[in-house]
Amino acid sequence: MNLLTAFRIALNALVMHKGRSTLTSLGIIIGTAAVISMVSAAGGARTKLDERLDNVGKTLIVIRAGARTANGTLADVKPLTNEEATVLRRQLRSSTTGLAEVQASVRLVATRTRNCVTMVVGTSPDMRRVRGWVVQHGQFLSDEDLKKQGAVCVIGQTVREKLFPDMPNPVGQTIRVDRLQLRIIGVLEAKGRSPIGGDQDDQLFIPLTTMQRKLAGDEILAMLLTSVDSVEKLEKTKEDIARILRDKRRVRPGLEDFDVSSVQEMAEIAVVMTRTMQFLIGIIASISLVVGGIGIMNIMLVSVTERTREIGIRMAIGATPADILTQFLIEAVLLSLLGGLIGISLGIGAAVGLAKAANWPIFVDYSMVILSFVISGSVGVFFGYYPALKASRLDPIEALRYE
Amino acid sequence: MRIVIELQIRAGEFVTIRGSSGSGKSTLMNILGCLDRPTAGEYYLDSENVQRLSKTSLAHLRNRKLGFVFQGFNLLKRMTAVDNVEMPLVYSGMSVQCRREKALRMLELVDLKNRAYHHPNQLSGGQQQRVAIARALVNEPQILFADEPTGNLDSKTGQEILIEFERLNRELGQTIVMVTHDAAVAERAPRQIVVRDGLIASDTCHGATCVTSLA
Repeated sequence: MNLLTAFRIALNALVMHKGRSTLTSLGIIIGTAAVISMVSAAGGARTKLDERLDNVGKTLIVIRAGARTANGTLADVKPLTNEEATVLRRQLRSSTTGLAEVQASVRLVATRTRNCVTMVVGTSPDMRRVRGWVVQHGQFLSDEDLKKQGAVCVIGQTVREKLFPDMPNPVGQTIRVDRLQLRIIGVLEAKGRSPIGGDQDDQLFIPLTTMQRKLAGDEILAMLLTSVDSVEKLEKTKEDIARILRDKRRVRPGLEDFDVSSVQEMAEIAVVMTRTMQFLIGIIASISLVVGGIGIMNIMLVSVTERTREIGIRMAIGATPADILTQFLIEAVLLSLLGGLIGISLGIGAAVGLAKAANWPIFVDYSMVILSFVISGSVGVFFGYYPALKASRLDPIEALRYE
Repeated sequence: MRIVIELQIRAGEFVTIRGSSGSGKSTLMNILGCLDRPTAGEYYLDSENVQRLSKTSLAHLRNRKLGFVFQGFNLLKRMTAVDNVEMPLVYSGMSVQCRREKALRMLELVDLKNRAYHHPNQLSGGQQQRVAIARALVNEPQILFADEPTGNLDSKTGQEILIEFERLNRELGQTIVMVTHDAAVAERAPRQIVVRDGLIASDTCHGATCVTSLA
């Protein structure tokens, strides 16, 4: 018997019981759809995350006060001081792009007609280079502004949109934070969201001195930022920073009351999380494919019993055991492949929908699509073999007599 | 209990095997039809000992050398008449086109060409049995086995089927072995074998005892 004929016979048998075939394939459909959509979702989320990490800059190093405990939070906070920042800036001058202090607080910012709540960040002129900010209009904070505690500010795109929706270039305008009048000297280009989802453009930079003397009234630096020009230099620079701070604070290695971390590390954590997620998806998919396979085996056993007489007739007129085995095996494989195909299309559909809804880039892993197809076919072979073997071993006389 | 029988059937014969139910006529027919193997003894089909053949070889033998007509027609209901007739050719590996041509010729032989694309449930009992005959003959078998072929038909249609068998035997020289419990049906054939309690009780050719068979 040629394979084409065997395929036709099998397809006819499946079409005969459309509803039953569909229900039987459901396990495989759900399994493959889940794998395809979840893998695509994970891939999309990953791409998005990478994009955001690039926005922040993978070479960024964050120095914070407080030791990192086992569960990742910071405790024992002894704030970083201006003096420490100055020492670090001097010693790291040659190896980094600079050092930016961050002393920030959320404040109400107002023009004469509008107001909004935003993050007011006291920092140094180094901030521009460290974070790679691009000035769209005007200029960034200068050393002069810092020295004179200048009543000036540089605003992010989101702040501009909120306060000056009709004015693309509000340089020269004044805004008010508490009782402090600030003149806008620069507007920054948009940077987008950070990995944790915060809007990086929703902030306003003022000279650190202005922040400490005129607004906050204290010297509590939330963090220090620095960056290097290549990922390779990260580790060395981090070690240098830690050494300098240990000397300054007179603490022994291992007992640091500060934390030096890089965005690169966060990226690595994200990779581990993605892997864990993929592993879990794999388990879920395997379970549903096994369940789907058992469903196929069950229905094939029913089908063999139902068609005992047909098998008898076919054997009487010359079907060999191998012919019968092939026929039922192809039927099982078709059933699971059809399920696989439907599942794959549903999965891709869901992935596209999900990507649209979550604003991810659409990401379809084609090797995964092929793998799902192959696996669903294998499930058909594996779970269809026993019923097919049972059919092929029927005794023609018994089978012919079966009512 | 071991039962010994000796029986020889020659090409071109029309033989009936008659016996009441449980007499062993079906067992005999199953062995002759290569659906079953004797537990002991030997059966030569066309000078070939089938005793030691595998299930697969027996299937090939049934496909190429034997044709079956059953009491209940045993057509596949979801296939058309011509598809049913084609089925043995599918298992002998013939190409789609040759298959269709040959199957249609067979349906013409049993006078059913205009019903080729009907499903079994659109055909009368007699027509279904003629489709079954076409299917049995499509691979030009050496022996045509018929198991109570008139059992599910009214007497008039039964007569037509019997006339069909007689014609095939007479005109094409088709060897036919027919099992029946009906003496009137059995008497239509030139050679009649009567089976009782697993033994051949009588074997007559045109009324005289057949020399080839001894109980």
